[in-house]
Amino acid sequence: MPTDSEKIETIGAATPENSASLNPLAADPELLSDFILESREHLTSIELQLLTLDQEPANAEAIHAIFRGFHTIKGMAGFLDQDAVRDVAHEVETILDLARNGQLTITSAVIDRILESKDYLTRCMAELETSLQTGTLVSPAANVALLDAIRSLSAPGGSGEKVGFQPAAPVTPERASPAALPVETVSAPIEPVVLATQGLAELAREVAQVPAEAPAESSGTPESVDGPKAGAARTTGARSIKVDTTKLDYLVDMVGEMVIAQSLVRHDPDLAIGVKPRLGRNLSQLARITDEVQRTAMSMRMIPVGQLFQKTSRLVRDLSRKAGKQVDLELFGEDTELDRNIVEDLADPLMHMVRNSVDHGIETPEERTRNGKPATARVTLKAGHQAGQIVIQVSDDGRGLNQAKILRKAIEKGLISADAQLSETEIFNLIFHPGFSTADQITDVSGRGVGMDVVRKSVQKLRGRIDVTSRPGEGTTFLLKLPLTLAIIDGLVVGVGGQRYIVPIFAVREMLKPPEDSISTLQGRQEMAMVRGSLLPLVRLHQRFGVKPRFENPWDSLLIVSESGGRHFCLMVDELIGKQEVVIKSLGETMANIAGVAGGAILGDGRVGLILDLEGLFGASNSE
Amino acid sequence: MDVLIVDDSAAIRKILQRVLIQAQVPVGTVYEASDGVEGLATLRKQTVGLILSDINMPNMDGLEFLTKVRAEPAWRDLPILMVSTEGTQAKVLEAVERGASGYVRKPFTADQIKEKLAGLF
Amino acid sequence: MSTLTAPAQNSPASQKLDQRAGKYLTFGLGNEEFAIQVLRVREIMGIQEITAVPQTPSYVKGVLNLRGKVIPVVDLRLKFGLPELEYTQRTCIIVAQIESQNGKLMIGIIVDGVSEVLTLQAADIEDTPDFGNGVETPYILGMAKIKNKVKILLDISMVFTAQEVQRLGGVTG
Repeated sequence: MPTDSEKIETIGAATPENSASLNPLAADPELLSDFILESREHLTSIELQLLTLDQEPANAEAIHAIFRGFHTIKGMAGFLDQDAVRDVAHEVETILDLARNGQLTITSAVIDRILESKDYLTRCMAELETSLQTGTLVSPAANVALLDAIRSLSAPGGSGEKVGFQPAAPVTPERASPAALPVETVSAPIEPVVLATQGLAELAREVAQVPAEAPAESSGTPESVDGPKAGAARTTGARSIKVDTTKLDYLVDMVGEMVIAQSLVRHDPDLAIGVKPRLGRNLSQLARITDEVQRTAMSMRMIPVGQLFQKTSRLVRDLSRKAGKQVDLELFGEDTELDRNIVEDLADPLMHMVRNSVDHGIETPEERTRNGKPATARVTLKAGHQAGQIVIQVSDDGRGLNQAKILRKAIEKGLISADAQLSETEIFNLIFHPGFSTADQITDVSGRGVGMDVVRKSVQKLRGRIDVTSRPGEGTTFLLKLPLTLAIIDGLVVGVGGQRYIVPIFAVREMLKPPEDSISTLQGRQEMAMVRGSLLPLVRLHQRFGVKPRFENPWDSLLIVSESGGRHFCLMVDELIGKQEVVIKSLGETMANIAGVAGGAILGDGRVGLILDLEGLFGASNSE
Repeated sequence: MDVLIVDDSAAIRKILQRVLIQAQVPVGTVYEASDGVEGLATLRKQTVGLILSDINMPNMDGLEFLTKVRAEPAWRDLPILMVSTEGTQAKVLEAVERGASGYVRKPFTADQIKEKLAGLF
Repeated sequence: MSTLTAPAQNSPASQKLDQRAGKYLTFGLGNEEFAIQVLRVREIMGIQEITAVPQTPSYVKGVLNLRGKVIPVVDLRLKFGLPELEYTQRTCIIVAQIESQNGKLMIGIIVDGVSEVLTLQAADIEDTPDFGNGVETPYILGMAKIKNKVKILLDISMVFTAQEVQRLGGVTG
C-alpha cells in the first residue's frame, strides 16, 4: 500500500482519462451519484463551519467537523478513483490535522484556502454530475496550483500564520499554466433543473368555470422558486428541498382528513356485514398505506427539541449569574422530535419553569454547602418518548416544594378548607391553581407558584398535561406530557339546534342527563348542577352562541362535565351525535379570536363543525 | 454470513458492501450503522459474522466502538476489520491493541480485502 | 408579478388606469352590476351549507369547507347594507383571494348570481364619480359602461380591509 507521500507524488500523473476500467466501483453511476450527493452535504456544512471558524479560530469542534467532512469526501473519492477530489481533500485534511494538534494556527489565510478548496470540490461535483448525465464519465483533473497553495500553508519555513499568504492572489489562471488548470475552463454551470412541485399549487390556483389566464399569476404560490434562490437550492443539496410551512401544514391537514375518511370507510356498518375477503384485504392494505403516508407527512413537520433546550441554556447562565448562584444545565434527549407547532408554543412555558427553578428552587452556594450539597446546583432538561407521547422533564436539585407553606397559602386564599385532607400530589398540584399565586406574592411563596397556572394553561392548550413531584431538600421535577402532534384530536360531536359542535374529548370527564332536582340557581343568576355531590356551574351552549336549542330545560338536555383550568363545569347541549377523530383547522385570521371556539373541523358529511374551546367558554361565562 | 458495516458515510457503507460482494465474500444480510452507538445497538439485536468499522465517526468513534464490543464476552472473538483512511502506524497499533482482528486502509480493492479476510477465517 | 396586484388606494390615476384593464367577473347584487378581477377569483360555487360562527358581524354568514380548507363566507348584500334576500338556485359563492395585513386570505362571497367574464380595456374604465358628500369609496376601482349598463369595479381586498377599519371605529363608506 502506498504511503501518503508516494501518492501525492503521483498526482501529476492523474489524468482525466484515469477512468474506471480497472475499478468497477468507479464506473457505477449509483455510487457516483451517492458520492456527489453526500459530498455536497459535507461541503455545505463545511462552509457553515468555516464561517464559525472565521469568528472563533480556536473552535476545536468546528475544526473537527470540517476535518471530518473532508475526511469522508476523501474516503469516498479514494474508492471511486476520483483522484483530483481525493488529493485536495487530503491536503486540506492534513492542514486541519495540524490545526487540531495545535501545530498550525488557523488564520484567515488558512480559512481562505480551505474555502477555495471547498469551492473547487463543489465545482468538481457539478462537473462530475454533468458527466454522469451525459453518460461519458470524465473525472475532474487535478488542480496542482490549489494543491501547492494548500501545501504551502504547512510548508517548512513558515506556518500559515507566518507566511501571511497574500489573500489578493488566489489561484488564478494567470498564475498557473492553463494546462494545469483544466478545471477552470471545464467548470461550465449545469443548467438548473427546477422541478415544479405541482399538485397542491395547482389545486390552489384552480379556477372553476372561469376561462381566464389565472394560472399565470403566481400570487397563489408565494413560495414559488425564483431565480437566485433556485440556484442556491440547487447547490446546497439535492437531498432536501425547502418547502413553505403553510404548504406542509396543508399537506398534514389533508393527510389527516384522508386517515379519517379511510377509517370511516373501513368501519362503515354496510361493510361490516359479510365483507368479502378480497375487499377486506384491500381495505387493510389501504389502511396500512394511509398510516404510513400520515407518519411520513407528520415527520416532515417534526423538529428536534434541542434548539428549544439551547435557548434555556442562555437563560440559566444569565439568571444564575444575576442571582449569584452556581448552576449547571444538563440537557438530554435533544434529538427528540416534536411537531414544529408544539415546539413554538412550548418555548414560553419551558422558559418559565427553568426560570422558576433557578430563581426559586435553587439555593445559594452557601446554603447548599451548609446543607451538605454541592455548591453547584443542577437543572436538568430531558426529552423522550413514552407511550405515544412526548415527555419533557424539567428538574432541579434545589430545596424542593414546601408542603406546609403551600397548604397555608391555599387555606389563606380560600382554595381549600382548613381541615381538608390532601394527598401529597394534591398539595403540590395546588401551585397550578389560578388563585394560588399572584405577581405580588412571588417572593413569599416557597420556591414556586409564580405563574404556574399560566404554564399549565399553555400546556393544556397544547393538549398536554403537567405534573410535579418534589422532595424537601432534594429538588423538584416537572413532568410534561404532550401529544405527538396537534393536528388531530378525538372529539365528541354534539348537537345544539341545527348546529353541530365538537368537544375535545381530553377535557370531558363525563356526560349525564341530570334529574330535575339537581339543577339550582345561585343568587338568582348562575345556574348550577349537582353532580356526584359537587355543585358545578352550568353553561348553556345555545345561550353563549346565540343558537335556538331543541331543549330549554337542562333536565331534557345533555350535560357534559368538562374540565377547564383545573375547574369543572357542565356544558349543556341538546344531544350527543357521535365520537370522531377530527383534524383541527384554523378559521383564519378574521375569526381567530372568537371566545369559545378553538377552530373548525370537517365532519363526515363534508360540513364544517366548530371545535369548542372550553377554557374560553367557561372563562367568558365566568367573567359575566 | 451477516455483516455489520459501521461508517458515518452512507456512500461508503454502500461502497464497502459492493467491495465485499466483489471479493466474493458470502454476504447475507448487511446491517448498517452510522456510528458506534448505532453499531452497538444493532449488535444487541442481530447476530453477525463480521464487522467492518470506520474509525473517525461522530458520537462514538471506531476505537471506542471496538473497545465496547470487545468488552462483551459474547463478542470477544467476533471478527472486526477496521477500515480507515488513517493509515498511521500508531492508529493501526492502537486498533490492534484494542482488539481489532485486522486493519485495512481505505481505499482498498476487492483483492485486498479478500486477502485480509482470508487471514481471519 | 407585482404588476398583477391590485392598485393601491393612493396610486396615481394614470397608473391605476393601466392596472385596472383586464378580465373581470361580473355579478349582480340587487339592481346593481358589480365586477371583480378574475385574477382574484379562485372558484365559483352554488350556495351550500354554511356553519354559523358566533360573535361575528351579521354579514359574516359563517364558514364552509373548501376542499378541506375552512374559509369564511360573507354575504355581500349585507355587507353593502342591502336587504337580506333568500338564497336561490342563482345565488353563488365566489371564492376570492384577498390581500390582508397578514398575507393572502381566501374568502367566500355570496352574491345574487354571476353573469359573465368581460375583458375591459383601459378606455372602458372611468374613475369613480365624486359623490360629493364626503363618502369615500376606496374599494371601488372605477366604473365601466358596457352595452349601456354600468358595472362597478370592486377591489375586493379593499372591501374587507375597509371592514377592519370600520371595526376599529374609523369612518369609511
